[in-house]
Amino acid sequence: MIPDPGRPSTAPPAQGSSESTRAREHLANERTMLAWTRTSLTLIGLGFVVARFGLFLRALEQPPTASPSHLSVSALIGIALIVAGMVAAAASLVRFFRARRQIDEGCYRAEYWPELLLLAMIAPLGVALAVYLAVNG
Amino acid sequence: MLGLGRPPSTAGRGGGEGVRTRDHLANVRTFLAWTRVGLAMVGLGYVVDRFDLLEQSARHRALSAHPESRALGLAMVVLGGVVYLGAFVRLLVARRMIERASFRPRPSLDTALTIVAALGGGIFVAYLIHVGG
Repeated sequence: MIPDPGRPSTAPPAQGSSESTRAREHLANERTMLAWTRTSLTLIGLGFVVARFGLFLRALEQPPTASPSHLSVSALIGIALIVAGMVAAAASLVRFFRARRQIDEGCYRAEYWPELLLLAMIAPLGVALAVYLAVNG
Repeated sequence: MLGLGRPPSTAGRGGGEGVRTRDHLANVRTFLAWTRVGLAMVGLGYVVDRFDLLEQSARHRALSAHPESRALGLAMVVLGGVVYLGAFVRLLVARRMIERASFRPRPSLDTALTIVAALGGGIFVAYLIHVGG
């Protein structure tokens, strides 16, 4: 399914676009892909900090309360953030190849399902984190 | 729905189809940059809040010596959420303007963010001086 990156696109030149314009479109698509990857890595890093910091604080609790086998709220939110980062990365790969084909066909569609998906994941997690910080003290 | 079924409009092709495509892709990157700003604010707010708990633990205190750090942290998390919500609205508005070939930059959000960041830096300095060593 994933096209061979070394193979030049066999699609006919995009309608109404010169070859150099098409090259710039593909490069813009690739930069967009990289921007998605940075966003995914930001999410994964944030999730890691949230999960580990919660664990660290729990280890300092005097006297120790919860059993170590039990996942804390911060660990759950942290893991959910990391999963959101992974889902965003997968969605961005699908988006990248769809856009690549559309550019070759000369009919790019400004889809926004990847952005909506990202928002649908991080908005509830942001609310959860805010509620957690407001309640847990 | 979600821009999936709609055929590309012709209105946004004033500069040619390739320019329209690049405009849309640049719009998505701008959305992602805003989202990262929001996530950074959420992360910073979380760290500010949890560091207060850490200090509390380290000093074996039952209550926080500086409850305002909790408020500061929570406010940053909420503000970060508002930023990425606003980023999505901005994405859709800009997307429509690109399709209609009538893009107008709206610097109000950028101005607001810069002012908030500058003021936020001041608040952080005041907070750090207040908390002391």
